[in-house]
Amino acid sequence: MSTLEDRVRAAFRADAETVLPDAVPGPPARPARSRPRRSRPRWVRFLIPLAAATAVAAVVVGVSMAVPELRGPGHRAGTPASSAPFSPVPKYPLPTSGPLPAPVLGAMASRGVPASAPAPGVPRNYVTNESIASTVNDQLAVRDTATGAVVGRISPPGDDLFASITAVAGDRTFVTAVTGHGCTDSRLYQFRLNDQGQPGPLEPLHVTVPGSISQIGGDLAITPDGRTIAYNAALCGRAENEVGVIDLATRQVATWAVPLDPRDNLATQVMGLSLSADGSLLGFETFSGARVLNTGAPGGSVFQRGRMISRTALWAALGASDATLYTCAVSPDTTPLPRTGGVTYAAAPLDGGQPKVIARRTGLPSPQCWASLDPSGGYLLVEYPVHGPYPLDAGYVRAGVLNLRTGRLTPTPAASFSGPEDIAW
Amino acid sequence: MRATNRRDPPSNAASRRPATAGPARPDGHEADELVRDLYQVHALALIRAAKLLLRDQQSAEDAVQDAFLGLYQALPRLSDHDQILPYLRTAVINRSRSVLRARQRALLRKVQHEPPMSSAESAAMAGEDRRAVMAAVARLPRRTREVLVLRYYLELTDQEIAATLRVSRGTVTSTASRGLAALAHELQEEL
Repeated sequence: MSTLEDRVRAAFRADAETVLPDAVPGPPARPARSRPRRSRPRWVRFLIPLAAATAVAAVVVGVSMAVPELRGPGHRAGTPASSAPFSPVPKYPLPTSGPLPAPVLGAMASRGVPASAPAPGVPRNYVTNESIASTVNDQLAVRDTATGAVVGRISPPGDDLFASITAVAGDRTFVTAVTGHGCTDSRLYQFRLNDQGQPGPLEPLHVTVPGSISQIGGDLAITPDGRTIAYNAALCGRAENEVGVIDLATRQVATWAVPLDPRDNLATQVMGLSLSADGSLLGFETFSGARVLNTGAPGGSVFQRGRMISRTALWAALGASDATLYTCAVSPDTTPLPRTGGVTYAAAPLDGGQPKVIARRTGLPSPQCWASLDPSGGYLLVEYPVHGPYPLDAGYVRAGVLNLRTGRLTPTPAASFSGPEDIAW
Repeated sequence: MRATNRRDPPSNAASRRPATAGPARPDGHEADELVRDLYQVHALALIRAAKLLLRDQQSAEDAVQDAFLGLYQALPRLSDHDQILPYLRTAVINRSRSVLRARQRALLRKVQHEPPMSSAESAAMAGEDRRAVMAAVARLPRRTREVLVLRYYLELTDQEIAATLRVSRGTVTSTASRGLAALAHELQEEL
C-alpha cells in the first residue's frame, strides 16, 4: 500500500469522523401509505403515454413545418433529420482477405471541411462517453465541435455499458467496447456518423476481448486505416491485466501481460493507449512514465517490453525536473506526445532525438488524460475539468481543441458535461 | 471511533432474515423494524461517506434519510436481503449526485452554495495534511471522488464499487489509478 493511499485513507477517516454518532438524526418514519388507487385497466395505462407521445409528435411536426430554418436546405417537411443518408460503413475494419484498404488520411482532405468547423482540419464532431452522466445513463453523445451541442446519442445494447471509445481518424467511424456490469468480457462495435453528425446503428465487429475495458479514456486505440485495434482490459479474477493488439484483417491477436502489484494494483495500471499510424508502435502511460511497445514482438510483460520515453530528456526540454508526466498520444509520424501537468505538451522523437515543447497552457486546471489527436496530428481534442469558485462542484469537464502548432486552446462553448469519460474524434 | 463498514460481522440487520425466507415481502411492521435496524447499523457510515462527497453534514444527512425513505418503497423489489446494503450505497451516491447537480445549477446562476461553517474547534482539529488531501480530493472529478471514498473510506472491493456505481470493474481501477495520479501530482508525492 502506498503512502499516498495511507494519507487519503487517514484524511477520509479524520474528516468523516467530524460527523459524531450523537449527531445522527433518528431513522425516517415510514411514509404514510397513500389511499390505494383503483388500478386502471391495462389498455388505459397504455393509452396515456400513447396520447402524450402523439401530442409531442404533433407539436414537433407543427414547429418544423412553421420554422423553415429547422428544415434545412433541401429538407422536406416532415422528414426527420436522422433520415439523412449514411455512408456505408467502410469495409476496411473487417477485411478478411485481399489487399489492405487505403488509408483514409488523404480522403479526409479531399472531402473538405464543413463551414461550421472551428478551424480548417478540425473534425466537425466528436463523441464522448457520458454513460455516467447525471440524467441520461449509458449513452454515447455526438457533439458538434464548434458548439459543443449534442447532435446525436447512441444507447448500448441491452443493459450493458459503453466502455472506451476510439475513432478511425478522419473517417467519422468510431469503435467502442461494450461491457457488462462488474467484470465481464467486452465486445467491440463500430458506428459511423453521417454528414449531419447523426450516428448510424451499432454494428458488431464480432471481436470479444477477454476482460473488462474501462469506461474512461485510453483503453482502446485504432490505427487510421481501421485495421489494427489495441485494448487494455482488466482480467476478471486474475492477478494481471492484459494489453492486446488485434489485426482485424488476419484476426490475429498479440498480447502482453500487465502484472498487478498485489500490494498496490494501482501503481501498475496501464493507461492512455495510442497506436502509431502503421500499428507497429503502441504508446501507453504508466505511473512511472510513458512507454512505447513494439507490437511486432508479443509476449512478456508490458513493463519488460515497453521502452520508457526518457523522463530526463523530457524534463530537460520542459525546464522542470519534477514535472509529472502524463498520457501520451502517438502522432501519425510516430512521435509520442507526452504531456505534463496538463499544461505542457512535448514531443519526443522515437529515434532518441531531443524532445521539444510544442504547446504550453497555463490556464488548465489539474491535468487530465483524455485526449484524441486529429488525423493531421495538428490538433488535440482534450477534456479538462471545470472548476467553479466553489471547488466541490468540480466533477464536470469541458472539451477543447488544442492547436499543437500555436498552443492555443479553444474551448467548446456548450455547457460542461459530467465526466471524466472517454472522448474521440 | 471506527466507521461501520462492510467488514463488520454479518450480524448486520440485512442478514438477519434467514436465507431460506425467500423473496422479502415484509409487512408494514416488519419493514419498520428492518429499516430501523439497518439505519442503526449503517446510517453513520453512510452519512460520513456522503459528507466526504458533499462536504456538508446537513446535505449528507438529508441524502441518507432520503435513501432510507426510498428503501421503504424498494423493499418489496429486493428479493434478496444481501441486495439491501448495495441498494442503500447506490441510493446515497445518487442522491449526493443530485445535490451536486443542484449546486452546479446554482453555480451557473451565480448563486453559490454556502456550506455550514466548521466550528472553530473542528477546524483546529483538522490537520494540515488532512486539509491538503481533502482540498486535492475536492478538485477531482465527481466520479473519481466517489471511487476514492468507496475504496478508501467504506473499504469496498473494486467489484463492490463497480456494482454500487453501476460501472465496469475496469472503470473502477482506471478511475482510482487516475485519481491517485492526480492526487500525487497535486500533493507532490511519488506513488
